[in-house]
Amino acid sequence: MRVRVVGMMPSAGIGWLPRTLVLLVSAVTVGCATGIDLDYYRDVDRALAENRSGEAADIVRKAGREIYGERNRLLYHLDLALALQLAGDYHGSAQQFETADTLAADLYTKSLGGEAASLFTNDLAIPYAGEEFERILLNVFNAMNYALLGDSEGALVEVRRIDTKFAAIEAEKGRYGREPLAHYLSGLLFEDAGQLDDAFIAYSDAAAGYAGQSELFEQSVPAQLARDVARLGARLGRDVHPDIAAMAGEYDVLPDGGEIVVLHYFGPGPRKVERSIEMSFGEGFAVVQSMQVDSQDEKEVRQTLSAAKGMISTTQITIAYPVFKQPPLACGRAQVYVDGCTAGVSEPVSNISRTALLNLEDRLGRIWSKIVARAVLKFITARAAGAVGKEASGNEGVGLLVQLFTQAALSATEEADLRGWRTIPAQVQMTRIHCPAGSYRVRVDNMGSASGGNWREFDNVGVSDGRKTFLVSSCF
Amino acid sequence: MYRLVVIGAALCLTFVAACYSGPSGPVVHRTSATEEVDLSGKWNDVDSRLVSQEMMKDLLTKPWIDEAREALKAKPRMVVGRIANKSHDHIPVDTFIKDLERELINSGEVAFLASFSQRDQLEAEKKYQAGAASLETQKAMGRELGADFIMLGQINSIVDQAGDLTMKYFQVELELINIESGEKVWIGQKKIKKVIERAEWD
Repeated sequence: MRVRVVGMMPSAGIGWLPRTLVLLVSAVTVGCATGIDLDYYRDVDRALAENRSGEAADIVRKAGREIYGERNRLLYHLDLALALQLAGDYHGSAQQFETADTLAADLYTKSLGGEAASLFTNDLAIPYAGEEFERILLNVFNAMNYALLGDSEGALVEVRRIDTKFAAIEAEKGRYGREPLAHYLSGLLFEDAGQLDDAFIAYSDAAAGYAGQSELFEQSVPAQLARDVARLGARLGRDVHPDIAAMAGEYDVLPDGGEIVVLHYFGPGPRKVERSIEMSFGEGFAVVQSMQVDSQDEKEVRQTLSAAKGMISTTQITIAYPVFKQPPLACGRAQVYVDGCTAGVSEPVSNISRTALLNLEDRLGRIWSKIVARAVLKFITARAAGAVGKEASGNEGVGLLVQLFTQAALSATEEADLRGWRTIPAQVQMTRIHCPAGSYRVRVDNMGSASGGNWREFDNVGVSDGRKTFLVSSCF
Repeated sequence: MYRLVVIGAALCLTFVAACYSGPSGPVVHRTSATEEVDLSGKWNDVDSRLVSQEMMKDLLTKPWIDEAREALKAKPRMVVGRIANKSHDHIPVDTFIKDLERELINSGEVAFLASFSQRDQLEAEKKYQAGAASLETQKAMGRELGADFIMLGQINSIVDQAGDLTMKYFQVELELINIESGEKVWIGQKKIKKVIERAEWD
């Protein structure tokens, strides 16, 4: 917990009645929190870090409604879907992603009732509808499920859904969706299905996406992708952007055979943490204190403190907001060895951590407008309650007590919305290896891990002429 | 004091509203299998049934069938080939193919042969019979009937979204091809348009 004090709190003693009220308010609000207990995730994180994805899926499944609650149903399906994919249950994972996709579309419609409730309490009053990047990535990861099952028709359904979402984002926000990996994967899937024109367009869109946003996303155009654009462009007689052609450089014409495509998920994914500030209404807004909360314990301490402060000050209200924080990655690179063929090193294809950060920054204006509106509303509500209390009882002390109690209650309900897809990786990398048709043993060495990395082997990986065989490996 | 109670009650209600997380447990209603239920706007069993009924009705009333019967002096023999799913939904194409086959077989106008996926099983069964069944009851290889026509097709879709509204447009295209001559004898098309309005929460 980091606390930065930039102002002074009035020092006042707390009597037994206010103390009791603080405890009561804290108990009520902490008890009814509608987020997800951050401690619960420790077991999920540990299972993923130790490559026990099946157990991670079991933990999520067992947690179910009790831990996630109805308002976080989308997160349940997302957390479970990715854990199942990593555990090799691609059918189960696809089913969960399908439910999540439908749910996210339903929830995306703003809730007037929910928005109104969140003004009085916090954003957790609204069912979680997913961040923009999460709604796109769920289709990317689901396309991988179908690709892993060898069902390119199913994978392309997900690709078309991604295109529809990109178009909706463009119409709504005037910018294109930010996930070049979606186009890159589309290109691979179209090429696998023999739809070369579509593949060329998807590869070109992906290359343009990486090139146009390279600084923003700290992600350059993958070398293999540039070669794909140049190779297919030459084959189809299509123009290739000179920058991409230059990036592709000299490349060999691919001999007969197929390709092994390994997607590496590197985690842990980005986490939302809470920052809170206390606003003084004495002489206009003034920041009194800001605080960052990283764990469930710290969150409860912060809420209790806010309630206590609300009990001794008639001019302060606490507001909380989320920021993304990226824990250190367990792995930085992977090396893939295909027995009897060749080896390759992974290259980054998606910086999910950075996308998450930019996504939240996009929403920051809206988040702040809402936070300020909520702070003002809470302050006015507390004042009004105090005035009514005084008028009804004819006693100024009772009025003050009512105002303090209301303020404490409203401060204690202030909680940043830290909800997010927990099992999502921070980075996706890709290794592509061209081999003659046959059956191979593939070994993936994940490097750069604090614990010395990990490795995984895949036996009997089939390669067919002109086709792509997809594999997925993870290091969390 | 009365207003104090009202404020207290209002505050309690606010907290209850913030803490309430909806009803629990699934609620199941039994409905007729033919009842039209559209929950999400995705391709569903009703679409599959209605499209197959309408398209096969159209197929069986077009001139090709009389011409084929005349030329073959028998019911035309048909097989359903690949129906490609190029839509935005994961469509169980096998179910759709079954709906098509049922409509055609039940019409009595055409003879229907085993589909691609069933042929492997027929072959396996004949191989088994060759080794295990009595000579009199064994079914010989190479005696299957050849199809005269094959049906191929695809399901496409267009999706348009704006705010709370989503428009889904499915287009099913089927073609009947004379296997010997390669001539296309019938092309059918059926369109379905769905507008999905996503309700705001209350």
